Amino acid sequence: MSSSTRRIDFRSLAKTTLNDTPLRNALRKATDTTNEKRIRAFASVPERQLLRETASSIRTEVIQNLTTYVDKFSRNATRAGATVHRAHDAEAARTIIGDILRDRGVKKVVKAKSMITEEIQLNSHLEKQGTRVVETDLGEYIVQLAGERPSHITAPAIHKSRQQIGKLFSEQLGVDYTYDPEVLTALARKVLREEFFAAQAGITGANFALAESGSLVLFTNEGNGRMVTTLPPLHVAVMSLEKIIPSLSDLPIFLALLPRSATGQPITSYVSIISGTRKCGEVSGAEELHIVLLDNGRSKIAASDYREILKCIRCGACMNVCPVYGVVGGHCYDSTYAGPMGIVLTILLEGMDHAHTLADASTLCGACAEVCPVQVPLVKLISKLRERKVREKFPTALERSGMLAFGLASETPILYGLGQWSLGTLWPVLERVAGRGPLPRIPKPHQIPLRRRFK
Amino acid sequence: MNVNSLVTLFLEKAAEAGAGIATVNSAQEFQRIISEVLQEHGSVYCPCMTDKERAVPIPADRRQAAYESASITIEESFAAVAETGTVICSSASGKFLQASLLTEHHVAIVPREKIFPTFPEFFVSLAEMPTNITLITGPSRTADIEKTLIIGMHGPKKVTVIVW
Repeated sequence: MSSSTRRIDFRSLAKTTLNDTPLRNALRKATDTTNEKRIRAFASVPERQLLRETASSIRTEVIQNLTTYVDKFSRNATRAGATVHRAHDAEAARTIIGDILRDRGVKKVVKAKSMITEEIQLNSHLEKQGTRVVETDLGEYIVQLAGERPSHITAPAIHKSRQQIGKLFSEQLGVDYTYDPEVLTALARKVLREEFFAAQAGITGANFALAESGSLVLFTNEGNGRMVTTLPPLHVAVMSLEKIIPSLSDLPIFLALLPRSATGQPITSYVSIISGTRKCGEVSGAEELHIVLLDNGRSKIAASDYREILKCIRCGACMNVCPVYGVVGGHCYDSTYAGPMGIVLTILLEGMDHAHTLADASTLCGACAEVCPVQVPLVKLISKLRERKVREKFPTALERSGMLAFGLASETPILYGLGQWSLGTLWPVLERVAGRGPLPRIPKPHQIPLRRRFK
Repeated sequence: MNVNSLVTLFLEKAAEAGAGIATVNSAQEFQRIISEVLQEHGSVYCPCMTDKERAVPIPADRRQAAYESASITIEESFAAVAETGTVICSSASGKFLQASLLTEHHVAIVPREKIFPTFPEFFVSLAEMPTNITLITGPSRTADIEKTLIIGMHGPKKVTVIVW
């Protein structure tokens, strides 16, 4: 990724957002609404805990036997009429997809929302070779018109107000300014309907893939996933290896968990289960289907102590409950994936050197792990990454020597007492020197230790 | 679960998802419901591949052979699932799956014997995988602008299920 040339500066990005009141209001409203809806949707599911445990064990089974399931999926998808490509990294995937489209003279592609295509920065690659890519999920379309990147997995334009979107539409589409969501949605429907018919190919990701039948499963509410996979004659699907689940009989549990966790719905408006290409006697389905199976670091993660992050089904619930995400928003993570799952995945995919600042973007409160529908132990994984960060000496010299001093003092009572006494004495001086920094908000240290006061 | 309670559950869940609901027991009742639907303006696409589809009374001047130009699609569903009020379309039926997507109003005729209580039961009933199985629950929707729910993003603004 191009962003890997510089380090993610979470701290200064967060500082900007913290002063952006409209953004914080929009975020608060969006995450609150989604959290309430999720809680309500699960109220009617008394067996929630059992579902989570079962879903977690299904995902674990696949990740522990990833090669077997990937081979099985490839075989069965091929049998169903798809052409399966294996890509080791982002560049390989971009080249494969670019070549498929170029060889067939494709000039315009419609795309359904997919995080994996963000991860491999597919759009800019295709645009460079002269293929126009049109995002068709409303949120993604807004973000594309604005020349930005999505800030949330399931709600890409969560950071924009209706007024900003209205202004964007009037500038980019040459329509009269309005901030009525109903009118704006109708406008996008009209513009994108023409794009669906004009496109020569459709690109999608996959929410799940079924090994036993070689099928792709797509969840959408808008219907763009259906459009993209039934209108153009050519369908290219990109998915990372861990999207596989064993078979159709494993799907119902994820039908119950994913939409409830993501948007608080019992099920999304549409779920498409696509198995290969159009068969004899059928009039629907692409005539040509290419599936790009992307590793991009997954095999390495599957073999590491961090493998449980691969259970993630991208519902975004961990973001919605995260007290850090809730005030800074997705863009501060400066990566494809934000929030608690984003911290773990970004560091693993892009390296500690590039992304170590994200390890601190968590209070370790545990809300994320508690809400996760597949029981990804996010707190454990983030803590582990923090330990690695310290071991690899990424914290600043000041932080390291401070921690070293604290470690020493906490093991030596006399030093500890001395430290406490001097800190208590010096505090007013420190406060005056530090001025308006965070110091006045920190509780004042006591000069007399607690244990002495209880004597 | 007996057929009547299955139908009740299916209709209740479909209504919760935002679909219009009706249940009919005879061709006359069915045709009365359809004529109410036809109070709406616009042309009608119906594949006329099953007996129930052939019973749809569409005046000749409102019939549209090309689904992409029609306003209303009336077609029989492949199956349905009661627990979520979901209508299921399958490419194995030989129909255009996009016909239920492109028009503004999708009217689904659901044969009562094809309602399954849950998804596991429906999936088990499939002898082989068709190229495309589409699960449809209520109308197309989006909440991408400030989480405001808007009905009819890319697909139908209105879905009506008629259990027959």
